[in-house]
Amino acid sequence: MKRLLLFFLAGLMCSMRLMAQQGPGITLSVKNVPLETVLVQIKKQTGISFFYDKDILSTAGKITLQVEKADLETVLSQCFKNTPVSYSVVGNIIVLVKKNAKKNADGSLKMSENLFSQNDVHGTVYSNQGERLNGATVIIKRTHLGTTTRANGEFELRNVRTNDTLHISYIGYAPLDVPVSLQTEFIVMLKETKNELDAVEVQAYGLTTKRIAIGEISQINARELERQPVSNPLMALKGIVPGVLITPTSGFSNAPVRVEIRGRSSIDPTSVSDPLYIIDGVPLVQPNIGLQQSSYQNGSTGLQQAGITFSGGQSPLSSLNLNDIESITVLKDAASTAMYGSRAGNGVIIITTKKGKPGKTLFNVSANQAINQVIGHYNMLNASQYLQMRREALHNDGLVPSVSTAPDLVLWDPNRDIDWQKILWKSARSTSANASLSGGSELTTFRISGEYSKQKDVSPLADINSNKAAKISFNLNHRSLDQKLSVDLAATYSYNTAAQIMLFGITTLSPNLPPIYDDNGNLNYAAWNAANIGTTYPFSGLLIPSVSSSNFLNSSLKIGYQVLNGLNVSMQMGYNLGLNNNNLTTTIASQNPLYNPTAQVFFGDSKSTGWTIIPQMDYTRILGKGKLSVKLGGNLNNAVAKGLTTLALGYTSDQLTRSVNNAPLVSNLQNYEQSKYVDVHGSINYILENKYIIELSGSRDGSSNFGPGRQFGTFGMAGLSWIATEEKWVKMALPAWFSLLKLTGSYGTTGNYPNVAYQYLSQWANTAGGTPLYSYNGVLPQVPIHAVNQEYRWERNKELNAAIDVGFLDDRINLHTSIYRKRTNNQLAQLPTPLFTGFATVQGNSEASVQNTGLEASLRAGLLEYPDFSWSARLNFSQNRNKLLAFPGIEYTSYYTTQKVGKSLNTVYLYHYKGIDPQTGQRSFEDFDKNGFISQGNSQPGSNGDDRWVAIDLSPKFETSLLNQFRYKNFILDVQLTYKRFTAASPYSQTGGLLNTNIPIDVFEDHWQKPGDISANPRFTTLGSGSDSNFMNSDGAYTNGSYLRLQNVALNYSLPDKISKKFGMQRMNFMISMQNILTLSDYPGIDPELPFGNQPQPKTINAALTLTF
Amino acid sequence: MKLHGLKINAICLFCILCCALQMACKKLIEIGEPINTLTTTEIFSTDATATSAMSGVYSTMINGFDGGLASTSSQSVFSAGLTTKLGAVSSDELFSSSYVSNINGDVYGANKLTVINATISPTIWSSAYSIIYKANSVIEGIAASKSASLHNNVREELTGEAKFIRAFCYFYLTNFFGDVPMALTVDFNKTANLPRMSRDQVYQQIIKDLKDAQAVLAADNSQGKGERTIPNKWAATLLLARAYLYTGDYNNASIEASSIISNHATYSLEADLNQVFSTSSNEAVWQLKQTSEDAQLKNATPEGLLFSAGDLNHHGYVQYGLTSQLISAFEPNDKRWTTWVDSTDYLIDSTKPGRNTYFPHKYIIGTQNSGLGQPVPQYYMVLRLADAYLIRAEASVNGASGGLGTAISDLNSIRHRAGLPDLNTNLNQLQLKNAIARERQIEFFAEWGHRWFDLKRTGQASAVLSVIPAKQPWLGDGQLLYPIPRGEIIADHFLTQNPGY
Repeated sequence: MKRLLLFFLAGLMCSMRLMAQQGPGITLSVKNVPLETVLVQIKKQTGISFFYDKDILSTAGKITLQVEKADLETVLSQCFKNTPVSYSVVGNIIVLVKKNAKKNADGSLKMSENLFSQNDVHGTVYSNQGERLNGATVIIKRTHLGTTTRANGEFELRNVRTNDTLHISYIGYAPLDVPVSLQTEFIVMLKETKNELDAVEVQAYGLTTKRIAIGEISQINARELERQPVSNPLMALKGIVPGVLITPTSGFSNAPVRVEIRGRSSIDPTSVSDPLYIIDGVPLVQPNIGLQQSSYQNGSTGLQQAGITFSGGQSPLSSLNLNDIESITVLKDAASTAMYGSRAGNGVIIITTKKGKPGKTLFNVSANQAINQVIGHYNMLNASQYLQMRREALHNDGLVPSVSTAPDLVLWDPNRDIDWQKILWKSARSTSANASLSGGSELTTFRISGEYSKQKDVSPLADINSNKAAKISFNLNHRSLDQKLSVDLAATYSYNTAAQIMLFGITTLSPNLPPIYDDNGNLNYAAWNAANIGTTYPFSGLLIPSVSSSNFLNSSLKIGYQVLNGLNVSMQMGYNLGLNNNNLTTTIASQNPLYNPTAQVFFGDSKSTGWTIIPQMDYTRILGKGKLSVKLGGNLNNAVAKGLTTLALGYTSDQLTRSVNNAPLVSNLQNYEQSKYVDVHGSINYILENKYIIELSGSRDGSSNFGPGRQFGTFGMAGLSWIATEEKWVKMALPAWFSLLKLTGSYGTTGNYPNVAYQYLSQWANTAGGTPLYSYNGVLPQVPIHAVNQEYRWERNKELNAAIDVGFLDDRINLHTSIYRKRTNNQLAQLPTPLFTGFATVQGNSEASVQNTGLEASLRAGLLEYPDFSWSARLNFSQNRNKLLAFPGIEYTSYYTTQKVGKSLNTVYLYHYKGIDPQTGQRSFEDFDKNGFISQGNSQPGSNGDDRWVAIDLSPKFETSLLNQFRYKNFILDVQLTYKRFTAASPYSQTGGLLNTNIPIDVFEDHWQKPGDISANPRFTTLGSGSDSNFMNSDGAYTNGSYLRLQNVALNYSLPDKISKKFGMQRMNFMISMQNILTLSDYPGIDPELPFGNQPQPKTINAALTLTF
Repeated sequence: MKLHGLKINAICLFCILCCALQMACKKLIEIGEPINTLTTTEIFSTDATATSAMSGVYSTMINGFDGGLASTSSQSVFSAGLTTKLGAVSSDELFSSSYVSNINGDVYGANKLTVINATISPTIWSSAYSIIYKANSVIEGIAASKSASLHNNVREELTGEAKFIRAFCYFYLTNFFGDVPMALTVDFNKTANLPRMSRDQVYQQIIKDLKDAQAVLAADNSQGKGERTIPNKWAATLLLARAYLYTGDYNNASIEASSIISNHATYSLEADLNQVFSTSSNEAVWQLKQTSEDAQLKNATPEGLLFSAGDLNHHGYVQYGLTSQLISAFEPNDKRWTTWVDSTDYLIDSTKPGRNTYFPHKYIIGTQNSGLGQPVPQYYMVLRLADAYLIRAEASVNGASGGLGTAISDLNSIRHRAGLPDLNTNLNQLQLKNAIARERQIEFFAEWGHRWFDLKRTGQASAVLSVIPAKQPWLGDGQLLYPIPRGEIIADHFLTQNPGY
């Protein structure tokens, strides 16, 4: 006779109560029917599943039952009143057992039975959601031998002693120890873990947990994303992932975001630091063929591969709906990225979208309303101060104010006094609406979601700059009945259109500048021409609009099959598509009517597609006293980008500019790139006795971006981890509150392939400098477009990483600390060559060796935990030291004058500023080489012939953030503080006195006026001299930019369930979140992260209401 | 167990697949050639595509390197106005209004160049070498081509054109910079560490290339479809004559100049000065044909745009004005003054009120009257017959056959059409040399740096320029050569800097 034992989990009773309140109640009227019929009825009405042994059905006999709108508990107790069956509720599942079966293994064993008798046992492992867990580990604790469950969750073990304990574990679930006793059949349910160390994290081609991971992985989950009102998911990582530097490249919300993981590794300023992005398993290859070039500073232009926009590109990730993202995972070191081999030199970011959950179909709607506010204005001179400055400057220069020297004094109205910042920087509103539908059965789940958003950017005249987007996504997941076959389909699609205009230098416009528009509403060129200033009219940008539209599709289909117990094979196919078209229109109305202007438009049209095929095999088994996991797979990726930029010229009317057809003259530029990538990758992971973890992984990669014979490279890693607290002697030696000590070390190599294709090939085109050439005498021109080098080879990163994890108080507090050393050699770079060779650069491998060393720490603490109140905190710290380790032959390269071995790549070399000369009122600098003048020469900074001896490293010294989360009843409050230590460009570097160039009042109030004056700022002048231009290259132009910022506060309130139910809702949630609230800094400007004159980053306040039905 | 076997097979199949994948890797990453570009082999496989390669050379020479999608950069190409601009300012022809725009003042006009403030002269270097690279590509590409569809006559013609262009570029490089590195191949491994070659060696290469070109180039203007827009045998001849003159080989200079002067069927001095720079000029030996589709340039020539006034009513802003030295060099009643010079009352220098500013007006289309896609009345003149007369005159004075008599008659040819009286036949050698220098100064003012080069090669530069007020204090003859661009010396440690920098 089989004996069945059921193990309960804590919190069951609680979930039982919840169940009882669900739905309109059960109505049943049956007489003498088999138990099975009743169960089917109940399932129909409640959606609840039952698990039972078939034998039970027959023992129960016939059932008679009459209930109306009864709750589940009543129905069940009546149903089983006169049967030998009892039940237990586990989540959405009801398990039926025989009444005489033991409910708990609480030591009530009959000791008379032979403790050492051996039985064969078998059982099934379920999740608390009722899913059968495929591949759960079942280990006999005594021997460390064991097995893994089959697809249907079943396992068998031979010769298990009655006094043995089974250790059952599954990734993401709390492990469970089950004493065997006399039982031979087990139904085991694992509950999702609350311990962060055991929570599921995404890793390369699979899943892991913090407890067993060897690589450096940081993951941000949906909860963290929701509280941040950002338009690009990458911006949500800012400050909260140690070792990841996130920098927006402009104020436009669709603009590229620069991501740098663990420091700058390339000496080449054209080299983009972006990591490899993987969305639902599909790598996103961002080409680089556009007219606007990608670079280290500006990141990749992303979806935009043709034309010109003010945002300098379109981040493909801004096409994702934040509400669709389940997690963003950052793989930082070689150990975690080695399987991506060559593409992982800059790290990997994996984005996983949300999937449906089995159970009731949920309908979720939310609405967001946000306000972006200007956080401050620069305090500039008013008109009378400005004019006083101008008069003084002209006087100093011995000039008489005239129309040509000083139209602001002679022509313009001295009584006009405008603060242009107040007129041109406006607050902006953003609105978005979201809806999603999800649900499904145990075998098939789905999720559909959609979003519409309309966002305005705080930039010049915000009513013009706007960004509208519609996004939909779809997830379908299916398992076959025997759980062996799995099919996962994910797709996300978005359409986005951004309208932009751009004005430059608003902050410094003269306060008495004539009005923007004349009486007829046209740009005021008449006043401008009267002044006869040779420079561009500052407001022409108002009538030069740029409109850019993008479509982005990312889709993936993965079919998996379990061939053998523990052996899964899968095939994933992915496709992504990015379309962009943009036009930048220089209208006739924007131009000076004096020169008989015609309108011109840049039309850009680009398409980038990528498909990927990933065959994969995973094998897991218990081998000896440990668990062995082997992965083997391949990757074939094909990316094609096409761009067409058309310059249409000579429009005689602004109305005609919508179409290229109306342009008398057209010139075209087509760009094209294809890049193929293939790899075979694999890993072996062995966890011995849950104590020792060893992992080897690697990949062999080929890329078509290399010349013949140099296409393949091999990369790999080895890592070792020791969980010391699993050792008895360590456990004994440590105090009881010390719950985890884990030491990890790894070494690995990754690579990089060139970010442009075809450089090994001689290429002729009718373009030069990226633009088309005019025909000569009717003959189409063809010119070589780059220098040819077939010799360049794979870039190689070598990374050493050591980490220590400690946990206290049952892991309620845990600290992860890692140190790393990453060295980049054979750097792929555009190597500078003398211009007389024909080109300024050639693709090659630089001799430079760059090192990044750093320390990252992440502390998580559940500080207080009560039923009604909890407080948890997270502290992140990261510090990176960048160093040009070696550069043989640097003196023969152009880097000789800008870089020094032993210094950071982000170092600037500067003159030493000595203050204002009291006699002349000019700035003075230290003549370091004492050759009589201030200069930079052809040699190293600070050597003979070069006065730039002050070195300032502009990379941040360290960055730290503190996140607090407080929960009181249904309120959750998140508070995020960040601190960054770095040197910034000083806001006060201008010399006062130039025409139409306003200055901050601080400069005005402390400037040199007459010989003998001791002042902080130089004399006013209209002429400028070397001393003024040298200032920008001196240490005087830099200052401490360190700041402490209240980055984010989010208050979330969920209506109590009872009340939501009354409204017919599952859940009702209200959230107010604020971004960039308060900055404390010694920095004299407004925003230390942006140079003087730029519009500071806005403050965002967002309100969101979410209803779930 | 049978089922088990099946599973084993499945594993094997998977492994085989993976292995096949690895083996097939090379195949898997094969890609086609890019659709928007051609390889060198493809370019030099047919007559038409090879001609396109040479067209690329001419197009960049006149239209610059940032074609139609960016604002025009034609004036930053040595062959599209930059040589004229810098040569005129560095010598005594033009002064610049950069007082307003340039914080350092006009360092070219003052001859106060340093390695750091020399921001424009390096583009002479970079543009010339970029064009040399393209010419080298043609020479090497044709030599390496085994294609039967690239015919011998085309091979010879295009190789000749490329060699001519190479010689032309080196001529200007050595005159601006002195000794220069000589890149004669496209292989950067061979050229990246070149040292500078002496001016003599550079001229030897120039003369060799020009002789090669002269031997194979078409003797008529068939390549330019009747227009004089592609250099032919006579362009090579004229430049060769100039190279001989500059190297003091007067006999050869005279021979080459005579040979083109005697080709009356094709070349003659235009009697009407308005016609000299026109598209149909009989005086033209080689003209670069600009586009009319550039947003900024429209249908103007680069110099037309550069020197024109902001409006047509003689009030507009100009960037460059004629120096008093040049103005006073004009003889009375010189038609070139009335035809090739214009004026505006715009005050370049507001501290000196009440002065008319004169500016070059050889090209009639400028900012104010240009039109996108409009007809083009003038091409950009590179070589013209007047040069041959003045070369032969100078060679004759210096001992070439014909002697002083030829010199005087050649000078008079030029003077006639300017409406000036004949020279006195009694002039001695020195007087005649001075007369030739002055004639060159006027005839070629604001044209291709003639004055700057003439002053330097005749040893007059220091004496003439050091007394000009705007150039005080005269820093010495080091300023007669521009500095080798700083970046080049950094990138190639075998390069040396010119003395004085």
